[in-house]
Amino acid sequence: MISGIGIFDEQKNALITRNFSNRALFESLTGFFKIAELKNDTYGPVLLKNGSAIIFIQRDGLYFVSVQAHAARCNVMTVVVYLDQFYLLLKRYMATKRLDRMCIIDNVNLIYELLDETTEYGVPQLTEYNIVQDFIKVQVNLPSTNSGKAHNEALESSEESDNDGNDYDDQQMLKSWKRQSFRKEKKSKQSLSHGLGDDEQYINSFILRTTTQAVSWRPKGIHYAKNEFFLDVVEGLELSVDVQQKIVRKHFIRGRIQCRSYLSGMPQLKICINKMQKNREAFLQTAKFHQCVSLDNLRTGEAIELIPPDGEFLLCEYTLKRSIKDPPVIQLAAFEVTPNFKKFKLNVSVTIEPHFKAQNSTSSLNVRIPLTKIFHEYKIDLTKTPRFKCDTGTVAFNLTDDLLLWTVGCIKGGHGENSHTMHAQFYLFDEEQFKKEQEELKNSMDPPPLREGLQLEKLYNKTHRDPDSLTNAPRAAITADFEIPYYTCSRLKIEYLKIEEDQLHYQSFPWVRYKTVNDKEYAFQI
Amino acid sequence: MSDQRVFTRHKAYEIRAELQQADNKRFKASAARQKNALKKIIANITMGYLNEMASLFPEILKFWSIDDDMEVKMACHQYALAMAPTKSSHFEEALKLIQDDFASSNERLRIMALNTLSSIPRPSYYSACQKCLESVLTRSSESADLKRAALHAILNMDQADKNSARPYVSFLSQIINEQRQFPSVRAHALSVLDALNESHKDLPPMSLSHDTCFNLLELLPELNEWDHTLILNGLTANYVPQTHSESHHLIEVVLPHLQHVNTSVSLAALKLILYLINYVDSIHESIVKRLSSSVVALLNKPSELQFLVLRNVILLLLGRDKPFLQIDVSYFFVEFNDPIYIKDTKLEILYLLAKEDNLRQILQELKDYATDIDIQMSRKAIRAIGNLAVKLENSVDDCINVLLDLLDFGVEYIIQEIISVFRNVMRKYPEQDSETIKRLVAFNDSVQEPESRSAMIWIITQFSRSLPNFLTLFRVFSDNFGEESLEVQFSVLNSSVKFFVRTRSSETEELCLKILKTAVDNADNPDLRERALMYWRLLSLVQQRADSNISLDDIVEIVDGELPLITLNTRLDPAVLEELELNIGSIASIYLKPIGQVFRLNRTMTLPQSPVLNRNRDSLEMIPDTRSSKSSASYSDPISTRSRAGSSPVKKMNDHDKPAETVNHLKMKRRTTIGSSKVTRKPSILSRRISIKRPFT
Repeated sequence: MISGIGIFDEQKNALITRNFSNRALFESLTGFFKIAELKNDTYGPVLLKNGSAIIFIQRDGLYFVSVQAHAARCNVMTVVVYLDQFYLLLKRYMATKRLDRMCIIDNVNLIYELLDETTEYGVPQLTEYNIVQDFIKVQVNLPSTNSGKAHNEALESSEESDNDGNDYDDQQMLKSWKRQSFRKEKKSKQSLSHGLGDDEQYINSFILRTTTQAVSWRPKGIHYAKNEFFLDVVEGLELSVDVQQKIVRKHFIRGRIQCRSYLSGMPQLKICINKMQKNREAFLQTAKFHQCVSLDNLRTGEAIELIPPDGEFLLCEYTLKRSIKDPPVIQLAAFEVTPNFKKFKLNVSVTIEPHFKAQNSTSSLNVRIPLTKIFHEYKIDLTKTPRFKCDTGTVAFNLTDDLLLWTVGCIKGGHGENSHTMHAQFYLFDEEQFKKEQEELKNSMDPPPLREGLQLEKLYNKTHRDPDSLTNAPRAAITADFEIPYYTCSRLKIEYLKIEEDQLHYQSFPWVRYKTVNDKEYAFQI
Repeated sequence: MSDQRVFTRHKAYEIRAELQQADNKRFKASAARQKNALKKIIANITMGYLNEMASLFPEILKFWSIDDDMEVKMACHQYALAMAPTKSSHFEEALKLIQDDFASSNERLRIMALNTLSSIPRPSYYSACQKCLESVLTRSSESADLKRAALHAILNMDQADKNSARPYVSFLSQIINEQRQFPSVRAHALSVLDALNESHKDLPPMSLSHDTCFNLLELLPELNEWDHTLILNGLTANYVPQTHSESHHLIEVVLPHLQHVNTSVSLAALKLILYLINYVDSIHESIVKRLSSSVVALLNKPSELQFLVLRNVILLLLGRDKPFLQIDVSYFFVEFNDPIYIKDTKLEILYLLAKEDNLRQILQELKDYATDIDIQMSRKAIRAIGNLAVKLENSVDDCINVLLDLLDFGVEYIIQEIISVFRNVMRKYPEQDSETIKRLVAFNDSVQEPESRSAMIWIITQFSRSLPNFLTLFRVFSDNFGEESLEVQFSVLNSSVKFFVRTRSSETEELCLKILKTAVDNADNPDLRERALMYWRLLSLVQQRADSNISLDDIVEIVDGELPLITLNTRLDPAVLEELELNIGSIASIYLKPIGQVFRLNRTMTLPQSPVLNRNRDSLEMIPDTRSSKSSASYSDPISTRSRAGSSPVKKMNDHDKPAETVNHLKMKRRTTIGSSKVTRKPSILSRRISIKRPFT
């Protein structure tokens, strides 16, 4: 039982608080939270005081705090999950990547309503966005709404002017897909509103009954002119390799099956994944499913059976460990730093190898090479401009963060037979020559030669005044971010997707896509 | 925005003026103004200006009676709730109004009224509330929302007045058993009854019957995710299985819920299964594996959740003598971006998990942490290595070698910590070779912190036989005895006496006397003086009177006797463990302390008696799974350590140079997958197989 909830900013000032029962206690405890030392986050997410508990999570620099009057009775896990869900719900309402102070302050009314709707007497009730959204239609108050709208409209019109010609060029296809999905979203909204115009006023009359029914995540009476179901399999690769010790620390596939459903009525879906047929045990062990999936059938049935919620939802999450024998999708084949002290030059070369099906190719690939260590170990002379060369893509030198950004772009797959290399050449500080030049300058009457172009060393010194920044830097690692469409690293595949609606018998269009991207961490530690 | 203007401090008279002013004006405009004024009141209460707003009660009452608008009613109820602690005399008037609200036909208003009635701690309100409750709960025509509100009103009343909820207990169990009730009402009734049971020690345990239990589980598909948690939690320890097959069956039913995407549901399921496992004779290994892997899958959540999972579940389950989960150590390796509380817990787990066979891996990892930039982390890692040395008697040498390696780093705080840690290691294994001791003593001058200083003194004293120059080493500490911290002073005092009784030379005598004299004459701390005096008397006893019955040998025995062996207590008390396992997900289990210690008033949970209860939990037989060894052939079986015997998680990267045999292998395999699937062979009953080549937007 949650006695109260509050959102606090970074300085622990209350932005919004809502209590469900005992006010006096709530106030004293939030006061306690304010003075509690949270420095160095040595505490877990729980603070105890006189048999009452404060449970909080920190997201985007905001604290989401809940107070429990009777700590012994409360289920910490439920509370933390609820706070997390509430945060996600807010984020979806605000349609931002990051919540901040102003978002909260500007939308006090909305948040009060949301808090009331998602809990009942301190027991979490309903946190599904697709349903809550139909209950609470308070206008979100966002600072940049106008400009955002204008931008969207501009985008739309420019895309509308494009013809529908079937161009199989990759770029074109990307565009056309964008357009298609964009229209779909628009269409879906229109069909929902039934021409009532103002979406604000319209409330699905079935919605009020939904929450108490067997299928609590889908209201009845949804209708679309065109029935479509989109299923995206996105696999994030997490990799951490220690290059020096030649150890693979982590190699995981974090998969998500994301769906968007625009289907009328109460459709029954059957989705069959090839992993369910062959490696059922191993796959099911780490998979977590959305509440709409009937879990009882999973163990025995051939397929995943579900009645999908309307709109966007996350069907399934899974984590697979990749075999150590499988090479990383983007493999660091070589990383060399070779100083040439005779010529006062320092060469850095990086070679990468793709390891995925040859038919596929990356749609984007960026490699970041940290230079902090190199700048630390060698005296680099930045008065002479460094030179870069690479087989594919472009190289940029980020002076403030000490890294090279190699934008490789689109490369074809393969299994180690093709590789791509980047070279960078820096100049080492040549003391003799420097002295000689100084001497010459002193003796000659000429003014010092005029320098044109960028003065990298000045910029460098400007950004590296603080000596502490070096010691606090995390471990140096070559990181990569990439995206490989049509490819799943685990070879997961949707065998079939069947949509059935007993009453309406409509034709439906299922769409399935795959892609592999990097997860938060994809790093080769050097 | 207008919201921000509402959230400013107002005086009571300002708002009162605004309310009255609004009365005179045209109706429509005034309604909006009134609402705005009411909003200001609520906003001011939220900001904590309770006393100022308290004087507005009469105005509120006026609005309450005349206005039917929902927003106004909501504000009035909120106001009443906020005023609950003030004991205002207006509450009697308000009671009438609230009862009127309850009698209305608007459901939201009725729920609100019920909530207000139960939350205001006054006898008159309680009796009114009880009447309302009876009318709601007995009538089957009322809606589910209202009934849920009534159930929570019971809890609300119970919190303020311990006796008011008692009459409803039988009522609640009736609701739970009633088939015709709304599923969510039954779920809530279960959780309310559970909560009541926990706070009232004298209530009889609510043992649910077998039928009710399965009945409730059948409800699960009809409930939303949060109600799942309520049911699963409610069943734990309240339903007592009577036969082995009963509990086996129940485990089967609950297992699928481990797969739920909502962490709290899967944890509640885990808790129920763990509880039921106490009532079975044997368990399939595949179930253990499923439990382990679902727990591992939870580790990929936001850090707060991850912390709870680590702390609550894993630490507990691994704390058993025979660990129940089979999870590979590598999952608990610390990431550099983990918050400190997760790092600490992971270190604890690593320490718990360490055994002879995985020690190398763990030591390597701890060594990495020890050279971490984060000083706190590095200290903790070194501590952990030291504790491991004490814990695992067969692999002390490995641990000591790692510690000695770390010494070579020469970083100040690492040295301090290693010296402190070595005291424990040396005490457990006194038969160290003199090389190690010499290497340690080389850092004699660089130890700074009190703890490491006194540890160094202890080492020098204890191993003075292998140190020819021990007195010179010792003088570093004894020379400025007066300026040392108390801890070091004690050590110096003890050691000087030990030296004296061990080797009686003029040098040691002089040293000992000097220290004793300074301690007695100059020391401020009474304890130190006391101890010095004690030693002094002891020594003079022997010297002065030769006929006394204490001989020198006795004194040597007293001062420099054999030290008892140290052991580390790594296991929790089984009784506590049992209780904590029943409380997974609660606050007590985070602190790993029994409930009674954290919250004194609460009932401690124990496993209910049953003919099939396993008293000895380690005797649980595990039926090995024959299929699993085959299935691990293709891609990784993520958990089982057995299948990974050949390919340990730390593997040389050189393997990547080998030809990509897996790929060819897989092409073939994929063909077989398609071929073997019954589905694709019968295209008629399927919708078409789909796959489109379009990039992501």
